Formats: sequence, structure tokens, C-alpha cells
Amino acid sequence: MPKQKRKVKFDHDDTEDQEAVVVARVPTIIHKWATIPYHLPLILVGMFKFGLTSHVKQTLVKGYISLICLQAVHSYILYINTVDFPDSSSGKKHRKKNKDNLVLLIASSLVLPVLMSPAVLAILVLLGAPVSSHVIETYLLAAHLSTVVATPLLVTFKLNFANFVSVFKSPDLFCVVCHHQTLSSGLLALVGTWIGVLPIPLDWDRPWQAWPVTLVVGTYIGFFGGSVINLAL
Amino acid sequence: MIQGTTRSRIRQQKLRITFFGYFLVLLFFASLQVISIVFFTQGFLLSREVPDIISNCSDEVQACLVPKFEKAIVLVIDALRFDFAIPVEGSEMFYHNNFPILYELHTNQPQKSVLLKFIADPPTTTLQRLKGLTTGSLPTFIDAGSNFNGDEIDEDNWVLQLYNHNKSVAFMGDDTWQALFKKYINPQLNFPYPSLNVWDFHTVDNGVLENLHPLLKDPQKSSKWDVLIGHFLGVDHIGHRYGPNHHTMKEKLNQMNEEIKKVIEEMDDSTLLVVMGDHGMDSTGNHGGDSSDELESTLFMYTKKKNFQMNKQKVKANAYDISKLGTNYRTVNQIDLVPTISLLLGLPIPHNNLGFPIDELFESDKVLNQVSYKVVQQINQFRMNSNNEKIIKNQELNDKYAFLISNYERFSGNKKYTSDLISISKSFQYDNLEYCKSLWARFDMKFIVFGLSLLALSFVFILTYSRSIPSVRVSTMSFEFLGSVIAMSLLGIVLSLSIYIVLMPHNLMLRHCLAGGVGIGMVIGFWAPIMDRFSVNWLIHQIFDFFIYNFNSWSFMGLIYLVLHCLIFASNSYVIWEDKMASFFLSMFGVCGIISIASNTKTPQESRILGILHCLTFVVVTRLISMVNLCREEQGDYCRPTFEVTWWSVLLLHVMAYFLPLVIKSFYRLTNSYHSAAPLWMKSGFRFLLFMNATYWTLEYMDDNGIFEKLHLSTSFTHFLTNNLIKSFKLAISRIVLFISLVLANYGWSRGPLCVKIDFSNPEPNEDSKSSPDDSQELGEEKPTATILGYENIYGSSYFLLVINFAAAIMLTSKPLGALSIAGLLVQILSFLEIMDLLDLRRNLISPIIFGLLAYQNFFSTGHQATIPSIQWDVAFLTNDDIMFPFTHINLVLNNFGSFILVCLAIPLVILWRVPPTNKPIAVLSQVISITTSLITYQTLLSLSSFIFTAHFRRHLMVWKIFAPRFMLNGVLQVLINVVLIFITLWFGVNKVLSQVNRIFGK
Repeated sequence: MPKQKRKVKFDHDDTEDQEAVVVARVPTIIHKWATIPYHLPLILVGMFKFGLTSHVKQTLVKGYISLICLQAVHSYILYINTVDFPDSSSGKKHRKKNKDNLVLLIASSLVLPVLMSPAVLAILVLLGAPVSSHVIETYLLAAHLSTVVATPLLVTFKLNFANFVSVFKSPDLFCVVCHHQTLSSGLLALVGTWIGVLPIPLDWDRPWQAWPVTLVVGTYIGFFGGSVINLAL
Repeated sequence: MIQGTTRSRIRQQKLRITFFGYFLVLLFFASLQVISIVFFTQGFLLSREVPDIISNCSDEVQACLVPKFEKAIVLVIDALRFDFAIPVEGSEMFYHNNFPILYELHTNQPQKSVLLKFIADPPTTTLQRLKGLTTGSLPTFIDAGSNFNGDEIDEDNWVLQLYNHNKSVAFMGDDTWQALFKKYINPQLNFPYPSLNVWDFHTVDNGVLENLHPLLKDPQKSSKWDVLIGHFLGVDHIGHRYGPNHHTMKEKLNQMNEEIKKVIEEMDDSTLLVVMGDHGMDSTGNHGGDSSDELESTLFMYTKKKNFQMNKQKVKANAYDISKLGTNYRTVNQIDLVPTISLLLGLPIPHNNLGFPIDELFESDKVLNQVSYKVVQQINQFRMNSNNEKIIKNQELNDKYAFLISNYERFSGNKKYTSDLISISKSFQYDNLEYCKSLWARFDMKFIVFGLSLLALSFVFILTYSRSIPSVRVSTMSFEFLGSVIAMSLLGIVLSLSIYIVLMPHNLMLRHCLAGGVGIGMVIGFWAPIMDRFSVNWLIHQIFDFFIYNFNSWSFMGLIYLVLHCLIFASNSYVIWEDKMASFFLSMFGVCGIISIASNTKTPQESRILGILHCLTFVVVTRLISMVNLCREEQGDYCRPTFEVTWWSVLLLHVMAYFLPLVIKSFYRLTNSYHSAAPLWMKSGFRFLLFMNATYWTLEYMDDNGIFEKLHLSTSFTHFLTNNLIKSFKLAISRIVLFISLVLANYGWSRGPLCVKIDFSNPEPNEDSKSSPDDSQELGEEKPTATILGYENIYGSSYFLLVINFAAAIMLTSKPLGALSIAGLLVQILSFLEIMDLLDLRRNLISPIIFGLLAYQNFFSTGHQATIPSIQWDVAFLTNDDIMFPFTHINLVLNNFGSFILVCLAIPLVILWRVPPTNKPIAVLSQVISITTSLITYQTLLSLSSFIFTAHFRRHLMVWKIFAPRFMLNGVLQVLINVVLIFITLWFGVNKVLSQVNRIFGK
């Protein structure tokens, strides 16, 4: 773990003297094996067991409820394993020793994605999700997607939006994202959702080719896979 | 001063020579690609050898029967689908229950009439069907292309047999018959009418009726003919124009009903009446493919004598079941008509016939047994005379034949065995038909592989040419390329000629030999200078360099898109859904653009916001455009077609006519180049043309929906209004628009309009030190401190006017929603150019790929699909009532490939947009060449991939439905893109704009 931390810093030193580069103020995760979202594959399997392919909407709603509950537990595990970026410029209030309001943090990390989901829905529609039909399914997909991806991110960054934005402004964006567990899982979840569209047109006539099923699967597997792969890095 | 002008003249000349070099190299490259495509096509599209033996009665086997009918009337109702002719309970469709007479007669007079479902063989185009219906053979796909200049038929057929037996054939209707059978029709009784104007529902039909009834009623005239052929086109044309469910369809079917009734009254006892459709139509009214709706047509036969047998077993077995739109109704093949008609009229069966007599038309099993034996003998004769060894030596069929012959000799007298004998004959005929079908679906692998390898080699070359070799080096190599290509192709010709003469390969024709030699020679010629200058190692190194140094997330995205787009040809499902895929990729690009711009800290806040807005525009427009679609049949229930002419789409055309010029103007304003020529083009020209387009389609919409009829004017005035006034008004509009946009505006553009303005009101020192002294020399010395507005986008703003010229013409030929989509394409292109400038993607791999995807997306959203029935034939008659060489064809090309033409025109803008004048025009030109050849590379890779997969899936169930049409689209696109890029984009566009700017600013 320390190795990774050093590397991020090294990169910053490298570029810092050239121009006033924004430093990616990324919190560090200490026990990566503990923060793997083990609940995601469980929920996925559970949803298939409870008939995701036959009753898409109902099962997605059920799955969402269990997702919220388990996400809360995962958020707690993530919280205790996160060390803030030791940077003075961003203010000391986000140090781990500072008592954050844990309950408020987790609650808001769970509620914010729900509020975000209409925006995600709009993006999905812009990217080609059907408009005239399947709106509820698309909305459920948006809810799942935003909760799976955004909640861990919000917890990791402790709702500090400026720190999150700093990731994008760093010159070695990919390096930072790839070496951070939550960020890379989030990226892979998005990629997984993107790839999830691809099997739908196939003329296999399988029930799991119904509209958001493959995308939900892509999201879950993407996030879980991302955090597992990150162990190796 | 003098020195300066000479220098600039020399530079101008150098530019011209460099340009000429590029032009010729690309021209040679295009011809290499054409050769490879032609080879592949020749190998892939099936061909069939036609034995030209004509049967005659003196032959022992073919000894003719006594004719059962003296005369026959054959009435073809084009595109009469089977469910049009049977009662459909509770259906409110305009095409149901409006043509009841056939089924009524079938049920009321079973011994005089029979109604059958008539199955066509694909392709379901009229010419192919007529060939099948008269020769009894299977047409091949390659024939489909000749539908528009139907060539004379030289195969044995029953019309020819009638002629040979001194029967007089009268004909009226669709002139396709005239093209096929001119020699055999009695010239005094020949009344052809033009067939391809699908906007005209009545000329052909009324012409047929005018000539038909006198020939039937008048005893003098009726003795002049033995067989009368009439071909009605109204139903087909209504289908093409409005689709089957339109009120005119009801009127047309009712008219047909009345006319058939009249014919039945007028005909005499010894006449056979045949009423049939040549093919069906799909739910949009088009045909050409092989869906069941297109294949299922109607056959009805009637006589006043009680001559037919209605087989009781068949009635019992519910063979004539009209439930579920007649899904389970008894079917016969179209080619079965050929032996039936020949036998009934006492003619020899055409030599190449593969069909079998229709049971119902022979009064007893005994007769049926006789005739089926005759047909079996004829089929066997055809097999033995075939020039294909495989047909002759097919042991299974030979055994079956021998078995049948021996049994027939023994049992034909015995009544007990007749039905068994008939069924053996039937199975022989069926097996033979299936065998021939499988055999004629034969591919010439030599040609396929050769064509593929040439295309692959051309791909490797163009890839190296466009991306591996630095563009500056390429510019100096043109004449080396030319020399070696010409030399090598000449060498190729000589070598292949000598090979042909010396070795005389027996299955290779001279032209193939020569073309192959030229192709190989050209490939070598293209590679020789490259190998001379660079080593293979160096080229491979270049590729590695690309991945190491030039590789960023955008090129990664480009590569992903490229790979995925090529892989779609590996699966029929993805080929079907290509339209969705293209839009998906484009929106993804836009969204990534937003993220990228938002997180880019180096650009100032203002341009970042502007950039995000451009991305948003791009995404939203892409999403809106993707909602316009035409479904192909295979998309089934998952697709809802939206490509229809509706009142709101016509209204939107008017709105667009006002707003689109404003939108383009705002883009011009960004670079401060909305001056001099630009307002003229936008405000007066483009808006006027768009308004004319909108007017045209408004009139068209009103005419189609009978709004003039609803006005309750006097009938004669309405008639005058719709038939004369509106029609000529529409023709005038479309001609004016096409003339202005394609001829006048392009001529104007070729004079070199620049969108700049010299601003005198601002006497402060000019920040651009280069421009002011140059300028002052041109304009005299009195205002040394003038600024040039629009200086930073001098090439782009001027060049985009050319794109607008063509856009206006393409919008006219596209239907309203298609025109809106093209308008969207213009906005997409402009916003992409701004995004590209901001993100610095000018030299990136993604730019040509996004342009290619834009073309594909808009191809689909202008109401096209990669299928033959989706070609919008009706726009061919936009500018002229009948087919006239350049105009009809121009309309079709503009309609079909409009998006590709626009994208090919716009691709140099990637280099030219937002670039100030340079004094190194050759460097700019070489970059333009690099980007345009990148687009060719992209399309070549797609073609290559689709060719490979189509060849690989040549036995696939869906090959003729999905893979082959897609490969044909790619083949045509490959040629079209090369031609447009070379002649219009480079020769006309880029050349003019570069030399014009260079003449004025290049010092």
C-alpha cells in the first residue's frame, strides 16, 4: 500500500515545477481486500434468483432496496479504511482524526445518488436509451448505476467535491484513477455499463437480453471486478 | 514588388503541380480499388449458365398435347399480395376485402375456377419475376441490377413458343415485357406503357383497359390474337408511394375487381383467364427481398367450360384455408405456371423449365399423370443437356428418374397407382429444383480471394500513405508513384496478355486476365517507391511510435470504434442494428468530449463553457437524429419506424428554413467570419432554397393526402389543380433548386468567395503583423492600419459554403425527416469542428472516424437501410416525369448517399477550419490529403471486413438478406467515396480554396 502512495506523490513532484499543476488530492485506502464490495455479486445473483429476467421492474426495485442497505455497511467499511490525502492546502478539517459525522456522511452518501439519478437518466437517454418506452426500467438502471458508482466515491472523498474534481485536473489522470481502488472500480463500472449494451442486439432471444438487465450486470461486475483487479496493482 | 509576384507565381505553380500529382495518384488508387471490388463481386454474385436450346413439338419427348384452350388472357396485377384477394374478417385495412371477386368465383364455381397462393422466388423484382414466370427457371441475383434496362430474353420461354407456333400475342401494360419479348409480340397489338414512374397510378392501368376491352368485345379484333397479356401497375405503384394502407389502394383494388368482372363477362368459352401477381409487397409497400410478404402473391385461373378439378381430398384437408390471412392456404410455385400454361395451350414445355403442372387445372388424375410424366421427361432432358457435370452426374436424381420411368411403363394403365406415380414425379421435380437452387448459389472462390487480396493490399497501401509516412514526404513522392504505377501496370498488362496467349487458361476470360494483371501491377507500382525510400522496419517502427507517442485516450477511442465497427459484419444481428450502433458511438464521443473539456484546466473558462455547449449540441443533435429511422424487416417488433411524411415534419421544414441559416451564421460569428460572401450564401441563397424545399414538400404532402379534394372546389378545377398546376409547380421548384444549388451556386463558389471584411474603422495598430502589409499592397497604400475580420478562419469559412451548396440539393431529394436529419448533420459537423479545435484532435485518429460514423448515422436517419427494398425509388421522379439520364440518376444518388457526399465534402475542414492563411499552402494540402485518405482508409477497412465476412458466411441462411446487401452497399460506397473525394472535394473544392487564398495572401 505505501508503495502506491509514494508513486502518486512522485508523479506530482515531477510535474510540479513545470507549471502550477493541480494536485490530485486522493484519499488512500489502506486495506484494499476489505473494501472490495463483496455484496455486489451477491445482490446480482440474488436478483437473478428472484426472477430478474421475468419480472424486470419488480426485481430491480427489490434489488435496489437491498443494495441501499448493503451499501451502507460497505460505506462504513470503506470509511474506516480510508485515510485522507495528507495535504495542508485543502484544509485540515478532513483529516481522519477529525471527527466526521459518520452517520450523516453515510446517509448523505446514500441519499445523494438517489437525487442524482434523474440526471443519470437524462444522460442515459442522451446516450440512446429508449424514450418512448421502458422509461421506468431506464430509471431503475440509473438508480442502480448512481448508487453503485457514486456512493463509494462520496464516502471516499467525504463529500469533498473539490478534492474529487482535482483528480480530473491532474496531468496523469489515468495513473491516478488506475491506482485508486474506488476510482478505478467506478470507471470500470461505467465501462461495464457501456459494454453491457453490446449483447442486446444479438438474435439469441434469451430472457436476459431484456432492456436494462445486461447493463445492470455490466455495472455490478464492472465495479466488483475493478476493485478486485486493483488488488494486483 | 516584381520579385514578390514572380515568387508567388512560382509558388502558385508549384502548388498546382503538387496538387496534380496527388490527384493522379489518388485516381490510380481509386481504379485499383474498383478492380478489386469488381473481382470480388464477379466471384460472389451468382451466375447461371443458360442453355439456349429451344424445345419443339417434333421432338419425341416433347410431342405436344392437343390444346385444351384456343385462347388465353393473362392479366398480371403487379404486387398483388395474396391477402389482398381473400376475405379477411374484421380487417379495416384499405388493402383487405376490396378485391373479392377471385375468392367468390373460387368458392362458387369450383369447377371453373381456382385461386391459389403463388410463391415467387427471390429476388422479387418485376423483371426477374417475368423471367421466372415465362421460362420456368430460377433467376440469379446479378440479374436484379438490370431491372432498369431489362435486356432481351434469349432463354426458351412460352411467349417464344407461342411465336414459334404462329400464335399471335397481344400485349398491353408494363413495358418490361416489351423489353423482354419485343420480338414475339404481334407488333399491331403491342401497347407498352412506361413502368418506372411510381408516382403515376393510372396511366398504365387505363392504357391497358383502353386496349383490352375492344380486343375482347369486338369480334373482328378478337380473332386477331391468340394470347393476350395485360400487366397492371397501379397496385404496385401505390404500394411504393404510400405503402399498402392508403385510401387510393382501396380505389385501385375496387377498380381491378370491376375490370376482372367485365373481362369475365366478355370472354368466350374457349378462353383461359389467368389473373396473377408477380410478387407481393412488404408492410411499407416495397419489394425486392425475400420476406414472406414479398414472396406471397396470387394466382387465379378461370374458364367458362367446366374444366378444372377441385380435388375433394384437398378441400377436406382444408387446403384452401383463408384464416390467419391465408397462412395455411395451398401454395404453388411461380415456375409451376410455365408447364401448366404450355400444356393447356398445347405448346412444348420450355427447355429450362423446373416447375411442375398445377394439379387443379387438369380434369382428372389420369391426365395429370400423363402431363407430369411429360414434365419429368422434360426436366431430365434439361439435366442431360446441361453444361454442368454435376447436374448430369447426380446419381440420386438419375436413380429416381430410372425408377420412375420403369414404374411408369408398368403401372401407368393401372388406376390404382396413378396417385403414387404423380407423387414420385413430384418428388423428382422437387429434388431437382432444390439441387439446382443449391448449385446456382455457387461462388467463384478464385475471384473472391483475388478481389479480397487486392483490396487488402490497397488497404495496407492507403494506411501507409495516409498515416505512416509523414505527409510532407508524401507530397514529394507523387510523381515517383505515378511513374512506377504506370510502368508496373503496363508490365502487368503485357505479362497477363502473354500468359493468356501462351498458357491459354481455359476458365479465364481475357478481360479478367488483363484486369488481374493491371491490379497486381498497380499494387507493386504503389509499393515500389515506398520500399525504395523506407524499409519495412521503419514502417513497423512508425506504427509502434504511434502507440507510444501519439497514443492518447482519443486515439484509443478511435481504435475501439474502428474495431467494433469492423466486427459488426461478423454477426447478422449487429449488421441489422448498425443504425443504433453508429448513434451510440457518436453520443459517447460527445459525452467524453464534455468530460474532457470540463477537466481541461489549460483553456480559459470562457472557451471551456463554449466547448461544453458545442459538445452538448453535438450529443443532443445526435440523439434527435437517431430518433428518425426506417425499420428493416429483421428488426421486427423492436423497432418502430418514424420515417414518414407527416404534417409536423413538413412544418418543421419551414421552421428549419428559417433557423438553420441562423445556426450556421452563429458558428461563423464565432470566428468572426460572417462577412461578404457568407451573408449572401446564408441569408439569400440557402434560406431561399430551403424555403423552396419546404414548399415543395408541403405541396407534395397536400397532394398525397388529398387536401385539394377536401377543399370542395368544382371537380374539374380540382382535377386541373392537382394534375396540372401542382404537378408543374412541383417540377419547376425541384428543377430550380437543383439548378441553383448544383450549377449556379457552385459556379459562383468557383470564383472564390471569401468571408472576410476589411475593417477600416479601427485605426489602432494591427496585432497581426503579417496581414497588414500584404493587405495594403493589394488595396493601395492609403489605409495601412486595416484589420481583416475573419482572417483566422479564412479557408474554413469559404470552404463550408461549398458544403452548403450540396446540402441544399441533398435536402431537396431527401424526404422531410431526411432533410431535417441532413440539417442536423451540418450542425453536427460544425460543432465537431469546434470541439476538434478545442481538444486539438486535428491530427488525431478519431476525426476521420467520427466523420465516417456521422455519414453512416445520417445514412440510416435519412430513411435508408442496407437493404434493396429501402431504396427510395420515388424520388427519382422529382425532377422529371419519366426516366431521363442524368437527372433521375442524380436524384437517386443524392437521396441515397447524400450523407456520405456531404461528409466527404466536409472532411478537409478538419484541417482547414480555424486556420489563418499560411504561406506554405503545400503543407496544408498535404495535411488535407492525409485526412481525406484517412477517410478512405476507414471505409476500405469496413469494406474489407464486410467482404471477408460476407464471403465467409456465403452459405449462411441470411446471406442474401443481410450480408450481401451490406457488402453491396460497402462496394458502392467505396467507389462513391473515392470519386467524390477526388473529383469534388480535392479537384473542385480544396484546390480552389487553397489557390484562391494563396493568390491573395500568400507572399
